[in-house]
Amino acid sequence: MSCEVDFLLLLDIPRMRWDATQLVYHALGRLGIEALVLTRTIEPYVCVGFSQGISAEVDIEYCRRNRIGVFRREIGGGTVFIDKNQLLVQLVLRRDNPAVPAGQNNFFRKFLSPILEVYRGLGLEAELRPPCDVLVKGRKISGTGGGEVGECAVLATNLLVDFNIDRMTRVLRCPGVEFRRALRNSLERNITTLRAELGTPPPWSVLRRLVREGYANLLGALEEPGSAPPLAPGGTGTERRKYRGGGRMRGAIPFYQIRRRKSGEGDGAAGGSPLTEAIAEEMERVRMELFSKKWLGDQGAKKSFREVKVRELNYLVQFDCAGTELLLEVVEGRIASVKNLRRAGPEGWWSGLVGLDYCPEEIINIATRIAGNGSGR
Amino acid sequence: MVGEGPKKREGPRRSVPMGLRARREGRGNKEQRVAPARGRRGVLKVGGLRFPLDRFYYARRGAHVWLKPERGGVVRIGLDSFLARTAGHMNYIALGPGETARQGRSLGSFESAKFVSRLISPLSGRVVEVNQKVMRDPRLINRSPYDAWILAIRPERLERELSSPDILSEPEALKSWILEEMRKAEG
Repeated sequence: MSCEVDFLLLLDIPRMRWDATQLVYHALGRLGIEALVLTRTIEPYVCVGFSQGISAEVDIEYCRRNRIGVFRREIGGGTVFIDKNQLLVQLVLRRDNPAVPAGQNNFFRKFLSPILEVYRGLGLEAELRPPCDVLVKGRKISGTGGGEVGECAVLATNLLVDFNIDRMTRVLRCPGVEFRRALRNSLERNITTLRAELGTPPPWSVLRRLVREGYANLLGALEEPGSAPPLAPGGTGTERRKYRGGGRMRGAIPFYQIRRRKSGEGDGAAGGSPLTEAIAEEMERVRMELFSKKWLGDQGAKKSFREVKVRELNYLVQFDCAGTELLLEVVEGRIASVKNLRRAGPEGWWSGLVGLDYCPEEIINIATRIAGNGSGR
Repeated sequence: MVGEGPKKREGPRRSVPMGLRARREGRGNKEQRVAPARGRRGVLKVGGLRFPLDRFYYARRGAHVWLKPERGGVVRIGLDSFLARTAGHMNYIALGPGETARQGRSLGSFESAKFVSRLISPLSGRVVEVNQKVMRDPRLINRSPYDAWILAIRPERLERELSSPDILSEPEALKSWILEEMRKAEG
């Protein structure tokens, strides 16, 4: 495949401070540097999508008490809980790169294919649920978001080696105990991990290699990296501090380039651009912006109900309208169960919602209309 | 949109259709008055998509923005049917804080199908109105892209900017651009 760039920078960074794991791709996108980033976070954190408001999504007080960072990214997707048991994979490509297809679905399909191959290579029957969920046996094993950052298109995904469902349930804002309990159950049914599927997950180094190879196969003829520096955490304390420094990432940052062979030019000298001062400085600039009160305080798309998308087409939703408090579970886009938390028992008009396609506006309309007619049953 | 639109088209620059030439009204009135397109009716159909010919289309950077000059000197702006179909369900639009629009610059962003794209301004000028109905329910764009205008701009240099090679109105040019975009989307 022909590409307009000479190389794709590979930042294979063992562990980073939680905030740096997000700032790095925002900085690369703003600088227009095409790169593949593989990393893990040192500390756990919660990350909400561009269209979401932190106060609506996250139990901020809980996160504060437990020193869990909270971030709002510039790209799409829903709220995620990220910890050290996930391999974060971020792909940054210039939008004018001919390898970038038009259309979101095409973008996700193409650039998630290496991730699907990684799972398949490990013996799992992974499938893509459009636009961008990777499922194994119907359960999500990778969560993804994307967006334009600067002149680049960014894909940010993860491989779940393990997942702390209790923590995820706890960091999300829940309108009540019932919702939290149902959320936990729903997450258990809808999320899986490499550990759950394989018993013993592969070593991180194997996962990283598989991901690197997958993207190398997709994005061009590659040379095997020959001079990757030793990667912490096996390194010295000084190295570890350097790599973990979310604020200032200076000096010899582990990286190597994936070189693309240019037609007729042999291997082509890739030249080289390490994670330079420029990227570190840009990360600082991005930090000022994305940690500003204005950005973090943005309410995003306001909703009159609480909705958690557990995976594509599966939701847990609570409506508080027209004298009812309805807790809905949506499976494959259809309402699978409804409970009115204000009234025990299955009776009532709300039970008629089961089996309908999930459409929040329609549910609110129905509830309001029935309440207006004075028919609560 | 993720990928860009086609690179700059070659060939002679189009002249602005007569019906769209700016007319100043009265001495000292700096507002530009643009008559709505006359005689530009009909719809171009390409690959099952509709492109009404009563408006222009901004093709730069895969923006897929339509712009329709209205009486009163404002131009309404929305997203075309190609984007409405390929982008998936719109779930959020956020406009930038300023009132100033610059051709080719971002006016804000929108999220659809877990991807955040930029809304690129096809014109320079001042944002004078925002369609709150669409802001509250961005899926109106999916349902009816040519009715669901997002904002209105009072342009500063309409004539000049409409003659940009990135702005299309002639059916042939429009058709070849859309076909190229479809080809790109198929990968």
